[in-house]
Formats: sequence, structure tokens, C-alpha cells
Amino acid sequence: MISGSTRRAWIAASAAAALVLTLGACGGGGGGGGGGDASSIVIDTTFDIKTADPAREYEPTGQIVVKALYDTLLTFAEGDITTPIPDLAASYTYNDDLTEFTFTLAEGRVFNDGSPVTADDVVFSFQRLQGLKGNPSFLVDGITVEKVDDSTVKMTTAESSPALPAILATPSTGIVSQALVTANGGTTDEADAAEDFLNATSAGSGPYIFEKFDMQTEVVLLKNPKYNGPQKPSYERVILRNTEPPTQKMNVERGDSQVALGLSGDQVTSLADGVELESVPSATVVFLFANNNPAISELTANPDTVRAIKAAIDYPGLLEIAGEGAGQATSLIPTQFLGTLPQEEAMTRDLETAKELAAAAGIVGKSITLSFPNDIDPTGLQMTTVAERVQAQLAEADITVDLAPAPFGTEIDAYRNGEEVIGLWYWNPDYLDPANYLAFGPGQTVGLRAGWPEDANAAISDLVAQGYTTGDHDARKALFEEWGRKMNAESPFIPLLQPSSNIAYQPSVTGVSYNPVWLINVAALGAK
Amino acid sequence: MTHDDAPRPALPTSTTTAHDDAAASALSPAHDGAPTPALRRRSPSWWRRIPPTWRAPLAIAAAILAIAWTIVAIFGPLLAPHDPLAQDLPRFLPPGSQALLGTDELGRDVFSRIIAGARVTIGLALLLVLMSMLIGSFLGVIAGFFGRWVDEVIMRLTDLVMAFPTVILAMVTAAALGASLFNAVLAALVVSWPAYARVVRSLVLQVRTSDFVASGRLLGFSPWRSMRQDILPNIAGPTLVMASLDIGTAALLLSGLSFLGLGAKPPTPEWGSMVGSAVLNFDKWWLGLFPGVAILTVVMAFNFLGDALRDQLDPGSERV
Repeated sequence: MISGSTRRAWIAASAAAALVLTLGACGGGGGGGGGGDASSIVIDTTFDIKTADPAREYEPTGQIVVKALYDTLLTFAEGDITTPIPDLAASYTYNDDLTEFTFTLAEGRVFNDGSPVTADDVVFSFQRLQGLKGNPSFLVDGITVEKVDDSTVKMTTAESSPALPAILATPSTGIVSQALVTANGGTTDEADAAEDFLNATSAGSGPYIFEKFDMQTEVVLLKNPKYNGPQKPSYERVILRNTEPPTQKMNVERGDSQVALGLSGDQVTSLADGVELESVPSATVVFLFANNNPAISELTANPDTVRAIKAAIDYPGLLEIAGEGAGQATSLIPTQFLGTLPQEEAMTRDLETAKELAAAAGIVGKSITLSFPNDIDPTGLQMTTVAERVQAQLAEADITVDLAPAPFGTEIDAYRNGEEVIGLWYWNPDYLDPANYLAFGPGQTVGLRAGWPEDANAAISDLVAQGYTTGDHDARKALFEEWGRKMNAESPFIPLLQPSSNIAYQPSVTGVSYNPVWLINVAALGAK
Repeated sequence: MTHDDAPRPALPTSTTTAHDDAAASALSPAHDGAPTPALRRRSPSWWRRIPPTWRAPLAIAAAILAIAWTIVAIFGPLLAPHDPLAQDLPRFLPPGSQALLGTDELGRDVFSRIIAGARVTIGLALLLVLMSMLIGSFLGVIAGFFGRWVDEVIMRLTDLVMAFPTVILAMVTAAALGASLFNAVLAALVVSWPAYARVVRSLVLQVRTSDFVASGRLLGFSPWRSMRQDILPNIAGPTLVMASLDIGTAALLLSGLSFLGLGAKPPTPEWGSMVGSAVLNFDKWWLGLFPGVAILTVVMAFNFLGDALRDQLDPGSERV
């Protein structure tokens, strides 16, 4: 029996509880940055980030973050990767030899502490990038950077450098505040100790600044109130979350996130209605290499082994596992770049030849280790899946490979030190010029990872040298095509495929555009 | 049929004696007073010969499942409709006529992979249990029999290992050794022997003070002969029970390590790693569900089987 007053008390209590719950739900929606909140945006991606120091970062997630924090001298407009446009540099001129570039800085641009961006900061940033000898340092090797006056900088190169403007649009060349960085341990040599500072605080003039930087789970960016550049960032807060692709799909379908960067070609085929999709061929090239260094493996150092592997791989069979939109990499230069090879010149399978070569190389019945990172899928394509398919295809040509998966963090060192026997990796372009791929040449950065020394192939080395210096557009096209042909035939590298790049996003988001270097420019995103 | 009133080989070491003993004597009325004489008369004689613990529905189901999985493990390659490594079917085929339990991200038949995985999982679980039982029992007997500093050293070592959370220690060991099935078994061995050492030691301590052990020693038995003739037969039953209860746990631990990428290397068909890669495609429900069910049934079957065996061989101990 409930008396009248007790019942009224119950009703009042229930109403109060309902009110509290409703208010709580609203508060949760607003504060958590969930669906429909125009002031913040949640972007899900699989993290591949080791630092937020522009002079050190060289990983896909790092590029997104650094692009948002630091401005570069030049940049590319959304959706166009052919012509560099001004950013911190209002204009630039160069001589006929392509050896002297003079940049005039834009007026009035400031760092996030309010201090002006000067020629001294530009010179310091480039000297620091060179002096650190970090992963991106090679981008600016051999460039002398001088201050002409407070708003003019001159860059001189020994050889003609047609790729320089494109290089100056890469996030790693972002301009840091000399005062802030030197005050926190920054120098222009290897003694630099500013990395920890730059992982907590941004020292740039970019449209965003740090709120939180956690390399494992979440990076939160806040709109830079002092930003006065040409971009129009619309979200107050950008939250990048480390999320596995299946969760990314569910999150973007449910509206828990607004953008998902890591969906595979398989996943987007079953994307729920009401989610927009930007699906374009990525410039990421997945490739194999067989180490040319006899100290690592006598077997793979034999050129016949590499040729056998090249002939044993069923390239269309690999595309099948990459899902919608993927394509065969015709050479190491992706199909949307200058100097790529036409599809009919791509490598094809020849099982009989592969078997003969394998027998000639003496690898039949022996096991070769194939190392790959098993926790990373830069384009939604699991490296493990590719490795398993490659293993099965090679087995058909009597080539036995033993898979050795390892986490990215541990495997990347073996790869960079050239210790892998067969490696399965991928290459995201550092800048939007085919000269980028010359790094695969003998004695170059990536070439050395495959144990391929400077003197290994004079013809290719010669093409590499020309690639860095030839300025004429048509001559470059022919040169890079020839380079690609020779690399396909004689290098220890085997280009496999270019997975599709899929960006799924809520219809409320505008300005979504894929960039091969920085994937997505968060400052270009807007809300309807 | 307890340790106190029976001299020397007090506990039956062979299952045949166990059955006869149990059916005939103290065990059955104590355990199973319920069946009425009428019911007994109606059941056929072979049924009555089965000890009551094995007539429980759970025990029967567990035995059937365990035997079925063991057959699958032994005759796997003959039963599988496809090569578990062949990538020749369409990818992500849902369960149906073309592939009974569907296909995975590389077009491999999930059913065939589960069958092939039985050999890996059950075989390695048995191996692991056997190894940890041998190592743990050996150390336990030594510790219990000799006592003093030998006991102290061995028991502190078990304390040391048991102080760590099992899975974490196994993970650390497997990660340090590198990912492979062999290393996963080694890692699991590191964490699973101390339980045996502990239990066996306490059993030995009980038996060691018995009169028949003392008389054996007075007759001039060497420690080795005493351990072999007087001690071992008396601790074998409970140890076997513990081992049988452990098979399920061992299977789970090994699958768990593979799930984390610390066990089976691709493309080995292993249930844990199958579930692990299914996580990346969890809208394809069949990729994770079926290997998961396989793990579940194996673990449950061996657990119930262990329970029944315990009721049979070691009725004194508590039910879990």
C-alpha cells in the first residue's frame, strides 16, 4: 500500500531523476566532442607517430599533426599536388640553373606566442633540420640557407634542385620559433634536446596548437588564437584518436567520430548509408625487398633470387586482397606522379621462369625470412594479409619464406638498419615529386636498407644523379620512366601495389581531401 | 580406500582397478545413494559397470566432446575438405554450401583451418600439461621428501613465479623469446609448473610421515626407491586429476598468447590467432565465432572431464 504523499514523493523523485539524466546526457554530448558538435571534430586513425618535433617526425600520423602545428614556406592547395603555392613565403624566385631560390616572407605572420616569423627563424629551422640528422634531414641535404634581410631568405644548392619547391611544402620543413626552441634545449646540431619540449608544446605559426599529445592514444589540437595565415580553420578543437579500423568504421557510422582515415577497401564496400566517402588511389606503394647484403643473407644477395621472386608474384592476385580502388604499382613511383610507368610495363608473373631462377639460385628447399610490421595498416590494408598472400604465391614457385611479424616499433629499426632478409614495407611520398623515389637507388637511404651499396649498379646510380639535377619537365619524365624500368629489372626492390585511400566522414564535415604526404589537412575541414 | 587404512599402493594407479574398486565399494553408496534398486534393475549390466561419476550427463557430454576433438586432432588432414593454407576460395564467403563455416580474408576455408587448429591447440595443450606435470611433480617430490633447505629453495622459487600474474608473465616470456608456438609453450611452461610443485609437495608431506614409508626406510630402502615405491603411487591420482583439470586452462593460455600475436606465426592455423585476426574484420562474424566456439568446447570438455576424473580418483578433494 502506497499512501498519497508517498506516491507524490515518488513522482517528484522520478521527475527529478529524469531531469538529471537528460541534463547529464546533453552535457556528455557537448563535452565529449560527439556528433553534431560544430566546435570540435573527432578523427579516428591508426597511430603511427613517434614525435611531434618537425625536424624529427617522419611518420604518417606525425605528418597530420605537424602539418596542423607548423607552417611551411610553400604548400599545396587542397586537391592539387602539382603546383606549390605560397604560405609563409609570399613569393619566390629562382635562377635558370635551379640552384638559387630566394624567398620573400609574408608580412605580419606570427608564432603562437605572438612573436613575428622572421628570416632568422627560417634559417634556424632549416639548420636545425639539417644538423639533427633525424629521419627527415635528408630532405634538405646540401642546401645552404642564408638570411638576406629580415624578410628574405636565400637557399643555394650545389646541383640544380627542381624538387626544392615541392620539398618546402612538406611538414618536416615547418618553421619553428628560434627563441622558443633554443630556450628549451634546441640547437642546430645533434646535441639538440628540444624534442620533449616540442612533444608537449608547439613552437610554430600553424593554425593549431597542442592541448594534449599522447603517442599511444590521443592527440588533441586547439585552434591557435594568434594564427593569421591564409587558412581558415573552423573547428576549435581537433581530436585525433588511435583506433583500429573496424572500430573506426563503427564510430563514423554511429557518429562517435566525424572522420575515419584508416578504412580498407573491404570495409568501405559495406559502409552504412549517410556516411560520405572520399576514395582515391593512394600514393602509398607497398613493396618487397630482398637484402642484397651477403652478410645478411647469401641467398637473397644472389640476383637470381630477386628475379625469381619478381617473376613468382601474382600481382593481380595481390590486388584482390586490397579491396576496392587499389592498383598495381607499376614502378616504385606511384601512378599519379610524373615519370611513373604505364600499366602495360608493370611486372607480370612468369611461374616457369620463377621456378628456373629459384633452382638456379639454390633457394629451393631453403627457408628465407620475410619480416614485416604486423600492427600497422597505413591504408587499411593489413601487412600480415599481404605477407600471407605473398608467401602462398612464392610457394607456388618453390620459394619458401618464413613469416616473421613484429610490432612496427621494433621492426622499423631492423628495417632502417638494413638487417631484414626480405622486408615487406610501404612508402608514403615525403614530397610530391618523383625525385623522392630516388631514395631507393643504390647507396641511397632506402637502398641501403636493402643492403644495396653505392657501387652496386652504375647505370642506376647515374640515373639517380641525373634525377636530382635535371630541370626540364619532359626530360624528367623520360628519365624517371627509364629509372623505373631499370629498377624493376635490376634492383632488389619489388613494387607490389598501391592500396586505395579511403576517408569516410560524416556529411556534416566539409573540405575532406586526400593528400599523399599529410593525408588530411585538419585546418581545411569545416562544418556545414 | 583412503591413505590411512591401506598399505603401500594405496591408490589405484590403473583405471581398470579404479573402476572395479569404485563400482564395488565405499565410493558408490557414499556418492550416489539416490538410484533406487528398481532403476538399477532396469539398466543394462554394462551401464552398471560404468562408475557413477561417469554416468553424469555432464561427464558423458564432456567425454564425447573430448573424444571427438581428439579424433579431429589425430585425423584432421583426412577430415578437412580443403587445404587449410590454400587461398583458392573467394574471400569473405559467408558460411554456406561452398564453405561450411565461410572463408577468411585470404580465401581460406575456416572449417578446414579449425580442424587443422585442433591438432595445434590440443596437441600443444597436452604437451604443456605433461611437461609442467613432470617438471612440477619432480621438483615437488624432491622438495617434500628431502625438506629443509631443498624444500625452502624450491618453494621460494615457486613463490617467486606465482607472485606474478600468470598471463602477464607468460606474455613477457613469450615476447622476450620471440613469437613462435614453441616459445609460447615454453612461456606457458614457465608459469604452469609451480602449481604442480606446490600440490605434489603437500601430498608428499602427508605420505612421508605414514608408517609404511617409515617401515620402508627402516627396511633399508634408498630415498629413490622409497619415492618410487611408496610415495609416487600415492600421489599419482591427485596429480593426474590436477593435470586433467589443467588441460583446458593450458589450451586457453596458449590460444591467448597466439591471440596476442605471441604464439602461432602466420599462416599457421591456430584458433587464438584466428580470433585475433578476426578482430580486424569483426563485421564478418564467422571469422571469430567458430574458432571461439572451438576454444570454448575444448576448454569445457576437458574441464568437465577433469571434474569427473577427480570425483573418480580423488573423491576426498573439494569440488571446484
